[in-house]
Amino acid sequence: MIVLDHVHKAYRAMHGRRIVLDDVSVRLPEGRCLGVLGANGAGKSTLIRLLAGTEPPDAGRITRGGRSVSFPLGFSGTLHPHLSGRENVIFLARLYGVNERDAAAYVEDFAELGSYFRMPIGSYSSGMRARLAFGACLAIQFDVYLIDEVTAVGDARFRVRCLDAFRERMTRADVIMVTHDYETMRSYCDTGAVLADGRLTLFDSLEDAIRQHDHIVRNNPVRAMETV
Amino acid sequence: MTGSPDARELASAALAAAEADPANVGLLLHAAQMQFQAGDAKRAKALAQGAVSVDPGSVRAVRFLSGLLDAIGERGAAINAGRQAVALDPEAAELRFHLGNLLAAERRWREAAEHLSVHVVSPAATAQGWRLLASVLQQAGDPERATEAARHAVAADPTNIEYRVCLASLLSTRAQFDAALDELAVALDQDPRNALAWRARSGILAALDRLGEALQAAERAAALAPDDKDCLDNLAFIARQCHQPIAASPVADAARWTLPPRRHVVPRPEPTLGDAIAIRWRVAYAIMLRDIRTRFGHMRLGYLWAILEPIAHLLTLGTMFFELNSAPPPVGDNLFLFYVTGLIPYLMYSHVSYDVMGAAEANNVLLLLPIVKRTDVMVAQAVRQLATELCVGIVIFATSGLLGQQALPADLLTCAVAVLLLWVLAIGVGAIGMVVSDLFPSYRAFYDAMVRLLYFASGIYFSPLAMPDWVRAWLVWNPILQGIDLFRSGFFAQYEPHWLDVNYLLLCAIATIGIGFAMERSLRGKMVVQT
Repeated sequence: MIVLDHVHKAYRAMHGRRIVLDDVSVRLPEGRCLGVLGANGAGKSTLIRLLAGTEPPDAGRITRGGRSVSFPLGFSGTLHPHLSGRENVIFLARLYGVNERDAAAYVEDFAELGSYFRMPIGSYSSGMRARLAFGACLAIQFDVYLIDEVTAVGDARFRVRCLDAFRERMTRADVIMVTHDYETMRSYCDTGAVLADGRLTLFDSLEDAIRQHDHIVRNNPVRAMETV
Repeated sequence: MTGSPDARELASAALAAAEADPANVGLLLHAAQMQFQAGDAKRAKALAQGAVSVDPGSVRAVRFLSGLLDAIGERGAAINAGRQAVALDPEAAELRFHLGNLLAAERRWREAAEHLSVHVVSPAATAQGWRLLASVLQQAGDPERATEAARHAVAADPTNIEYRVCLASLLSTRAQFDAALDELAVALDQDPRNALAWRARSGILAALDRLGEALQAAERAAALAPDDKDCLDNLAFIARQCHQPIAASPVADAARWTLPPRRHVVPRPEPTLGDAIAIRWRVAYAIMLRDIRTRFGHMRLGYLWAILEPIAHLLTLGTMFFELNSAPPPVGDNLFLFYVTGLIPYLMYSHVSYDVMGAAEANNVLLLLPIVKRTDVMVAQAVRQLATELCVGIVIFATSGLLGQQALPADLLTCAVAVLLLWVLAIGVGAIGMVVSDLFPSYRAFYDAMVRLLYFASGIYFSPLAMPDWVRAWLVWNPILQGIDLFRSGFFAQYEPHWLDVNYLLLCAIATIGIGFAMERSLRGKMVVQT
């Protein structure tokens, strides 16, 4: 179970500091798919990095109860351009102690890169890279999958495959997703939260979270302009 | 719109007027309008764009351009122009409605709702605005407020049948069937021949299981609009419903709509210390293999370069000094071996300290993987570099053996201790350097200078034996010199320098590595990971 204990986090923005979490203590629900809504600049990506543990909080503690938390799904920034798709997958599998051959075979089948799978990532298009990253993340069995705003991966057919693979994975693992897109949230999540003004509010009903977020966006002219 | 001869004539007249006075926005817009009506969309667009560039602050011109772009199918550009118009006059209700309309057509519900909500609260709000907002809210998943908006639309224009039908269908989606039927009753009162209203009524009645009445209404709608595919489909659907027995297996049907049960999560045992160490080593090992694969990835020989490069360095410098210096070596009987026994530990120290220092930078992206800690990268670098230098040493000393010189150290254990202590020292200095250079980037230049200085102050090319006492008194505080001399004292049987202080070297190694990792730990949060 991921527990936030008096967590404070701010980051430096163009005009002064932006507070993402202000003394937040919360237990994220288990056995659920949680969708966190937040306007642009509310700190959604920072929240994901905090939960992943790649960025420490300024104050307070985040405990994960021994659960393995994924890197943000579809994040291709850690792939090495000189290595082939296969070698990159093997590196990730080795890192997480997963059988290397199985992982490579899974991704080869999933990402549909054909002969590109054995060519350097540097020669990939961004869509191919995202497909590889998506497959690599699914090839590793995590307890919690983190998703940072991912819907635009590949063509419609690949998206359907992702959705299927993802639903299958969700029977065994939790999902925490940050987004500002209601449709994505409705199709994946069953619990909602809203990140705004340094507070993270959990809602038992998805629609309540959406309504709350909508209310916030609508009533803040500055933010409303940003999302336009 | 095809250009009739009349329209074409008017258009060319307007064009001539606009060309005569190209700074006149009004004339330009008029000409654009006429050209569009005459069927020349391209020229109309150019003229409208001309009008906007003549006076970018003219709301009228920008609004006209947006409308024109929409009419000729360039909706993305139309939205941009619409947004520009709204920026020029944020109060104007018409502009908001126009932009909301464009955004809604692009299914960008959220943005559309934002502009429409400005429109409907302004004094110039239109019934149309409310009606559109209702659809947008419904699509954006807010049926409650959608219904409210639809109610406003009906209030603003009570005679519009379509608005009432919209309100009724929104009410029915929220299961307020009676209210929905009331609205439709009003609508059908106003226009009993409205197929849309009849169709909506049949849908609501079907939802209420009043299938007989639903079928009547559907037949009525189909009779009123015999060409409307929706009405015919609806009739077919209701008819099927009437013939079908009601839900033969309600449970199976219901299962389609139920949500999967919440999973029960089994808590995991906390990992033991052994597990933790195993994980850390696994991660460092993976990084090491990746580094070996990528470090010289663009070169054919790959990582072999990491071994060849120091060997070349050793051979060049060793041979050069060997040729230049004809004096007998301070220790042993071969000057080349004397140099090499100093150079190998020194290069190991310098490479390890640099690689550990650069651990954060070189593998920065890896730190975006939650399982990778900065210390893993540091360990990976240190172990990889130590293994590399061991290979270098083995090649060099094996060559020395092949040439009939001394190959094996006289005391292997002492040599191993010396290498180990220098290695720990290098990791410590590297860790300190990593943190300090993150805080003060100029530290790197300072350390570069330091390493160059130490190259000559570590007794590689001379023995402190040959130094004046006061110089030696200073030099022996250099832990690297201590390490090199410890290595040599192990390699050469007859070398026993009296200034050697293994405890001092041990202290330095432990202190630097302790300080280095403590600094890394306490300043971890301050160090930036770039995405």
